[in-house]
Amino acid sequence: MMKRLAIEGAGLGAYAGTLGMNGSEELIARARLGEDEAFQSIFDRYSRPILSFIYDMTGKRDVAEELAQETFVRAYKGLGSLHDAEKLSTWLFGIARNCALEHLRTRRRDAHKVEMDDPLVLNLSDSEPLPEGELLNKEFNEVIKRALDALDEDKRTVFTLKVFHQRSYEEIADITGFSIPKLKTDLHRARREMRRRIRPYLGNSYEV
Amino acid sequence: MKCEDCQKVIEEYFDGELDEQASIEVRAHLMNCEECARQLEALGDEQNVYALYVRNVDVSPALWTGVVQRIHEDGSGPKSSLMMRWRRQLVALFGTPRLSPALTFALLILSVGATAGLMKYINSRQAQTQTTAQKQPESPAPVAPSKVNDQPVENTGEKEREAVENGDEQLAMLDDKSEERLPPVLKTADRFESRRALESTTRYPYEQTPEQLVREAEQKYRAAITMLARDAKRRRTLLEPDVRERFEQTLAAVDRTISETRRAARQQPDDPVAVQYMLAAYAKKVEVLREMATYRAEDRDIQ
Repeated sequence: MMKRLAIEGAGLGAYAGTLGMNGSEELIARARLGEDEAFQSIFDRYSRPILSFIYDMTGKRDVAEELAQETFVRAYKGLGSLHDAEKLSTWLFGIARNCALEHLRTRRRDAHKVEMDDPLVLNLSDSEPLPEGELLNKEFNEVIKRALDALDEDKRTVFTLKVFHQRSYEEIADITGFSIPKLKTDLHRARREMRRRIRPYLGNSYEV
Repeated sequence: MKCEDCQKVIEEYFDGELDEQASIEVRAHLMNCEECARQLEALGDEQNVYALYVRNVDVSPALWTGVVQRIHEDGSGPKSSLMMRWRRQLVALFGTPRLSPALTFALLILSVGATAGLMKYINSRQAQTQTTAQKQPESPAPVAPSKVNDQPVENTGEKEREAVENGDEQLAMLDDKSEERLPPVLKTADRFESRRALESTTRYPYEQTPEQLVREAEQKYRAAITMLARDAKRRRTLLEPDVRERFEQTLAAVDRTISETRRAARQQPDDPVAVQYMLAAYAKKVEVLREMATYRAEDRDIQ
């Protein structure tokens, strides 16, 4: 029996043996062995931020759901290439970013098609009156969304990761492959552009 | 610190990205500068506004269901679980993880057979390349390959074997100098040698001991790895840095697995599962190198 265990340990040593057995490390090790429950735990932990991030990047709910699904399918298949459990989150965000960028490139090719099926846009154009607070919230969300859409992809990525997902510069660099100076410049410019567009919500405390 | 210096780094300070010394200087400046302090406060207000943003999305149960469905449709799991899957398949097939000596032969022949197919594919592909390459030069007089190759074959083969023995295959293969150690003529000699070994193995497998078969299977994999590593090395410079790094990390992990499984297989040479783990590790390396050699940008997330 001990002999058998030793062999199994040797066979999996490069993965489980060096990962230790706690938190993400354990989940990754188990998911690699094909345990669906372990991968579902990873999904439960990261699906919301991944979905939000993709939505921020693409601006469309149905697309965000589809690409989030694609992200986790790719993640499942590619788990073997993840060697640092601590980077699980940035790794997933990196995949999500690539999915989003691929979609945006395709969308640019189909740019002549005007997309007006976003429920948020439809609701805004609805003539049915809304309670004042709800209307303000919807307007505010729409203003932020449109301001994000107006940023170029690099600035949108960096801004979203920093402001909405509180990622460090180093993590953003890992996710995007950008250099730290580039992402600092992009973040600074993104903040300035966003500030200009959401000015009515910022009060008088900031000179734009 | 002057205001203009402070304003250059105030966002980094707000983001908590400044080092200790710079942070102290910014803090000292903010104590005495109302304008810069107001800017910092405005950044905080701005962050609070963004925190109110509500997205029109939520994780539905259908999202997970869709992921599971697609994974099952594709029929592929995490690539690194290959060994576990092999083991499960073997256990399911034969009902017990403790395999008989006869089955050991069968497994090894299967491994060698798979290797043979791979080797034939690689050899035929490289033979075509070699033929094309040999047609180009006109001036040099033809020289019998065996005479030219004698010395380099021995030296290079020995060095490669040493590198593999040290569990340092990837470095040996991908190191810039390794190409110099492998002159073009060697490829031909390697192939002839591999084919001879292959033919003898596939024709008369039962005349050899299990240990010999294992050694030969290893040699085939190593030969395949050597060839693929050359292709991968050529592709290496064309890969994006992050992709290259991922490949190299994967290869390093596979090399560690090879090293560990070889040790286990050496300690328990009569255990077919230990041997199978080792061969699976070699197969994994072949797979990764093939992916590296044929990598396309669209695949980047899967790597």
